Parts: sequence; structure tokens; C-alpha cells
Amino acid sequence: MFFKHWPVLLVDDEPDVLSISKLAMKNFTVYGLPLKIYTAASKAEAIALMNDNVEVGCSLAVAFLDVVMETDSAGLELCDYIRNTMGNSLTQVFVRTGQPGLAPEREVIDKYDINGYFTKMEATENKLYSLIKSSVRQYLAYGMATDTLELITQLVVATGSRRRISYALTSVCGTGFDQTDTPRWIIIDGVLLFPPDETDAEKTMTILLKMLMAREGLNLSPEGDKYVRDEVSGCQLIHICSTASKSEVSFLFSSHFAPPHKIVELMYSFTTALAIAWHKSEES
Amino acid sequence: MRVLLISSAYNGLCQRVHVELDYLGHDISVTLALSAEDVRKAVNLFQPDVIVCPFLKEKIPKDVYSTHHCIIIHPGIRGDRGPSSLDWAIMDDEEEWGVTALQAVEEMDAGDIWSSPRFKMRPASKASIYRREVTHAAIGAVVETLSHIEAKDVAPEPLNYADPKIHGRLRPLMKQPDRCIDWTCDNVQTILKKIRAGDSNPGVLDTINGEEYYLYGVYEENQLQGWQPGEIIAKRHGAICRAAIDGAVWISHLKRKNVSKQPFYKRFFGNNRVYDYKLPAARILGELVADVPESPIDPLYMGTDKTFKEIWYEEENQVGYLHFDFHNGAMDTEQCRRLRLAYQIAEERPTKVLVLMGGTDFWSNGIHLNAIEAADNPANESWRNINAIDDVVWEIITTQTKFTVSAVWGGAGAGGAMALLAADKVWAREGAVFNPHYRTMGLYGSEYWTYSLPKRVGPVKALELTETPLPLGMKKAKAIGYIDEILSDHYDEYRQQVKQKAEALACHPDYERLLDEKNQRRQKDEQAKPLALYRAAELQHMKMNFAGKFYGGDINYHEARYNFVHKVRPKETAAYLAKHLRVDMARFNELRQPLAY
Repeated sequence: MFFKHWPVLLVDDEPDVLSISKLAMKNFTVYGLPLKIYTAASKAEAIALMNDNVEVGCSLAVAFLDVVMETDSAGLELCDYIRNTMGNSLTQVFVRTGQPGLAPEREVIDKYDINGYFTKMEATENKLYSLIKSSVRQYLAYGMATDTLELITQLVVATGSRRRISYALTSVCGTGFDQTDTPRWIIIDGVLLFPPDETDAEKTMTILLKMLMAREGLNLSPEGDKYVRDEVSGCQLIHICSTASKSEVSFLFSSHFAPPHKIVELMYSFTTALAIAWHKSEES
Repeated sequence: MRVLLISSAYNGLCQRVHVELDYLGHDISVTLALSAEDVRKAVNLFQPDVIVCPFLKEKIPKDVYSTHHCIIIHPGIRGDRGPSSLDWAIMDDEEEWGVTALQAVEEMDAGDIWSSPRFKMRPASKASIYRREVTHAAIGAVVETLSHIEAKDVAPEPLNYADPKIHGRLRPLMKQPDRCIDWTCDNVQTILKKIRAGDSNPGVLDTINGEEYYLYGVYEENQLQGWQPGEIIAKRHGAICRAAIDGAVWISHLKRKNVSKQPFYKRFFGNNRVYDYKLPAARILGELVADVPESPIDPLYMGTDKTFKEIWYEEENQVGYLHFDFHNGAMDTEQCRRLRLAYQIAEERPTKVLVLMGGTDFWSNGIHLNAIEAADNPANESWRNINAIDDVVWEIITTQTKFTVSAVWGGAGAGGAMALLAADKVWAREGAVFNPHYRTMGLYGSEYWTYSLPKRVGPVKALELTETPLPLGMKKAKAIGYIDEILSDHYDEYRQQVKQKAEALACHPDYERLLDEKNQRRQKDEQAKPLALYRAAELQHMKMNFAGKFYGGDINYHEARYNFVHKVRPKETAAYLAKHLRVDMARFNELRQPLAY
């Protein structure tokens, strides 16, 4: 939800393939955001890059892996590394090979947890375009769903103690590093959860909140819960109204793109869970 | 007794006093001396029998010390007074120094004396002496004083300067002109002394290429030489070597003078990064030392030359001793990679036991927060650092050819306290203190702790240790199985014990069988759940800390790191330390419990 671009990794030992693919993908956008393309010429180089760069290591959306590189199955081993050693099941991994004889499609897809297989001959610009579009969408939806589930689980575990809920939420609220242009605030019963040190930051938040609260937005429930997005600033609000069983919660954030409805629903589930958990918890 | 600790910071000495008194069965609460009001509130809520101030720069309010037994720990001998005791002791080449436990009175350090143990001085930095000798003596003084107060058997002695036994005196604050190095006439020994007296705070102010810097971390060099005293003649792993009139010295860290502090928000918007905290010297100087030659050193240094070395190795009677003495125990990405390489070479040596000795003050404190803060992309650097330290730990856990031992003389914290569990055996000095938790930094933690910690202490204790960020004393650590052996608190004795135990293990009649059993255990564990899965799961949690893109990154980690690096004082004493606040909380629910730092 807070991506500025979609990190994509191309691994191929042929420099020409890398540069042509890079060129072809240069102007692709998904949800209006460009791709950020990382390249590696071998399995070893790709692993080093993943351990060295937090974006490739933690937030990689799509990977295209050549099969035959330093060994006949280096690309497949790399796929295994991503899935099993790094425990990354989110990244959409595609295998593309110049020698389908060495890694037959059915065998590969049966044995490795990949999202697609194609030969280099098939890799036209249009094919890449549709793959990138669909796989980034898939990546975002899957990632948001997994994280939402994890957060809700944490909220359930922490229910009873507001301090523990705050701990669980530290990974959501943020105005820190890398987040200055996509700040997120959570306001519960009128109180900002992690107030920043500086008053002007809190003032900005208050103005934004007032502006969005005044709008009608998208109605999410009969109680009046709503989602509002300001087209110009990209600021968004998910607001949960207080009832007998839940607190009033405003999740205010700014992102670089307008999320599809499914994503809004996921964020709404999280916010609702928070409103209920908070209501049922004590200070300590 | 109910003992309230009042301290300027929850530093190593305060932690040790906390741990020791807790072990003796006293009821302890801690408050930071953030304001007179805070202190009064803590005293009122906790109603202590005794107040102990292990490390206090502030004055205690009169109404507190006049109504309670209030003991101040002063790092000086009987009669010594003033804020720069240790600095002067180092500067004046004192052979012996001491710690005094005094009653708090209006005049600073002038109260009646309860106890004043002495110790032999050692050529080391002020911080190192404070952590080792001062802390050891202070614990003795506190325990003795409390037993006298409890038994009401001895009254404290008034300070009487007419007494010929009193050698101490009132010394002023040591200022920069007292510390100043004159490169044209100070010899190596004087330079060492001056820098050590100000290390780790405030440092010695010196001018390099027209700019002012504080100098820290000094080491003697007996090979390199230069013509121009003060000139930078070499660099090594971030340290710089400067010529002196009779040799050369290495300086490992610098801090730029006079950089105004930036608030948390503004520093992200500005492009000009200012490093107003301690960093490796070459990094601070940047371009200035670009042409200075790098002085190479073996990855597994086995020499005995006096020089700047972070990693070195000794070998005797089939036992290898790998030392890694990183400044303040923090290991950045490069240092982790060098340590891994050194470990791999040491593993190849024909030994039966490899002892991981750590450093003199700390075994390890995990990732290098200052280096991360200074990186262009701190989230990226955190990720690299964690992966690099995990690689080191992986090497240790998967060692099959010999037994590994973590011998812990100094303290260990965060990732360091978990990394030491990678070895087959853990032996620690009696006075060591571990902080096996990541919470204060807002991190989940890695270093395979989800594998090694529950394996040693069980899942319940593992959760307790990591959830409540309290220091762990060695007696408790032994009782819960965190460590295997407690060794002596005296350095020479400790080294002797490590040597004896390691050699006994190497010569064990059943060595081969034991080694075989160890490898089988590891194999069984690997079959149950591969190490890679532990790491993947830990890093999965860390991803949220470093680069959460779906819901967000972790404000706690980045802000906590900033506060740690810039030594920002917390606004209130954390509730896990302040027992009195917990009592307060139970009665008055409106008090919000602060987050973990």
C-alpha cells in the first residue's frame, strides 16, 4: 500500500537479455507507479543482492529468473532459495529459459513454487506487459491479505491490554524514515496513538483529518463507517464510528496510488478489528 | 529491604546493582533522575528503606536525602570529590584508585563514608575501568553498606581531611585545556593517557585539517612511524594512525564538534547529513583520508605487535582463542564479514576447541546502530547488518569439527546476547550482565534466537526474557540454563579458568563420542526444523521493522535508534524498571504506560 515503485528483479547471464528486458519494461506502470528494475547476472549475484538490499530482500514484487546460468539449474535453485531459505512466498517468480529442453515446463512447475514459466522466444514486450500487470496486482493483494491477517492475529492476541495493542501497531503507524511522504496515523477516541515530537506534524494531521471527515466518501457500513480519498493529496481515511462494542478509530494515511476496492476492504477489516480490540482492553 | 535506585541513566553499573540486589532478595525499583519532581514522586510511591544512587550527575532534593538513607556511589577514593574523579586518576598515573559509598548531603560527595574499597589501576580507557574495576568495587561497597544499614551495626565515618589516611581531595571538572594534546611535545604514553582519560566521554578535542573533533579509542602502534607529529599516516578498518614524536598511535573513533542537534522530523528532509555522533574516524574524515594508505592486517591476526586490531587469535594445547574486540561491542556489516572470515580460518586450524572470547568490555552487543544511523539508507543497512551477523552465527551453530565455547568476560546485549548461545558451551564471568532482548529497540530480533534461546531456557523463559527488557545476572542465567558455568570476576583468574576448562574439554577421554553426539543432535534438530526456516521466520518479522510496505515500517525501531545514537534521554522511566509506577498504575489507571524505551 505504501510503495513508491514496484521492485522487479531480472536475473540472466546474458547481458543483452537484461538490457532489452529493462528497456521494454522502462515505461510500464501498475496502479500508476513505475517499476524499479534490479538486475543480477547469476544466482550468486542475485543472492548477494537480496542480502544486501532491503528492497530486493524484503519487498520484491516480481522476479524473472533465467534457468541456465552458472549451472544448468541455477535459476531453479535461486527460486528454491527465495521460497525456502528466505521464506518468501509473496514475490511472483517467473522462470524463463532459453533451453526448455534442460528444464521442461511441467517438471519445473510441478517441482518448484513458481508463478509462471515461459521460453525466451515467448517473451515479447506484450507478454511481459501483461505478466507484470497481473503479477504486481496479485503481489499487492496477496501481501495486503497476509499482512492484514497477521495484524488481526496480533490484535486478537493483544486484546485486553492497550499497551500490547500499541506494540502490535508500531509496525503500522509511521512518519519515520522512508515514510515522510506516506505518513500514517491512527487516532482512537480522538487521541493520536503515536504523537510526533513536533507540533506542526500533529497540526497537519488534524487539518487533514478534519478535511476528510467533512466529506461523504464511500460508505462501508450501516453505522456510518467510511472511506474517503482526496484525489489531489492522495490522503485517505478509513473511519470507524464508535458503537456500544467498538471505539472510534480513524486510520489516516497517504499513499502514492488509489487502492482498488479489495485493498480498501482489507484495511477496513484491520481498522474494525482494532476498534473492537481497543474497546475491550484496559490501559495496562 | 525496599531499595530505590536513582540514576542518571540505566547504565551498566546501575544494571549490575539492580541485578545483584535483586538476587540478594531486596525489593528494587528504579527511577531515572529526570527531574526533582520525578525523584520525589518515586520516593513517595515506593517508600524505600534505602535509596542507592549508582550513577548520578544530578542533585537529590533535600527533602529526599534528609528523610531517607541515601547512598551515593562515587568513583573515587576516600576524600576524593568532584565530577572528574576517574579522569584525574588516569591523568595523574594513580596506581591505585577506589570507589566510595557516601551518605548524600548538601555538599556534593562530602557526606559520611560507609565504605571505600580500592582497586589497582590498569592502562585502559576510563569507560573500561568504570565497567570493570569501578563496577566490581561499587557492588562490594553497596552490598557492605546495605548490610550495615540493615544490621544497624556501624555508623558511617565523617569525612575529615585532617586524617592522614585521607588522600583524596576536591578536584575540579576536567576541562578541554587539561586534556589537550600537544602533538609537538607529547609522547605516545602521554597521548594514550590523555585520550583514555576522556574516553568514552567527553573525548579529547583536537584539530584535524582545521576542523575540531573529539578523539576516542586509542591504541599504541609499534611499527608505523611518520615524520610530522599529528599527521595521519595510515588507516585500518576505519581507524586512523597518527604520528607522534616517539612513535604513532591509532585513533578508532571521532565525533565532530558543534553540530546542532536535528529533531526527528527535520533530518529526513535535509540532504546534508551531519554526523553529530561517534563514528569510525576514517568515516567521519571521508575524503580527507582518501589518499592515506590502508595498513593491512591478517584476517586472523596471530601476532603480538602493539597495533590496532579488532580480531586476533591465540592457540595453545589444541585450543584456539578467537578475540573480537569491537568498539562498544557493536558489529557493523563489514566487521561481521571479517569476523566470519576469521572464524572460518580459525575453524580450519588443527584444534579441538574454539573459544570465542569477545572483547574486553563487551562480548558483543549485536548490530551497529551508529553505523546504521549514518548510512544513506538506514533500513537497507539494518538489513545488511542483520544478514551479516546471522551469517556469523550460522557458522558457529553449524561447526562440526570441534567444540565451540562462548567465554564472556564483558557484557552482552541484544543480538550479541543471543549470538553467544550459538556456541556449544557458554561460560561467563560472575559479574557479567546480559540484556537478551530487542524490545527497547523496537525489533523482533534475529541471530537464530528463536532456535537457540528456547533450546537452552525453554519456551516460557524465552518469552519472559525477550518480552521484559530487564538485565540478566549470571546467577539467574546459570539457574535457568542460559549459561553453563560461572567464572571468576578477577581477570587473571578468569583467563586461567577458561584455559583450564577449554583444555580439559579438548583432552576429554570421550572427546570423539561427545563431538559425535553434538553433531547428531544438530542433525536431528535440522531434520525437525531446518536452521534456514528459523532465520526466514525471524527475518520475516524484521521485514516489518525495516521495510514494511503493505502497512508500514516500524516507527519504533527508527526512532529508538535515533534516540540511542543521539543519546536522547527518555521522557519518563520505563515502567518495567519503575516498580513504583506499576503500583501507581494499579491504583490510578489514568497513567499511561510508556513504550519500551
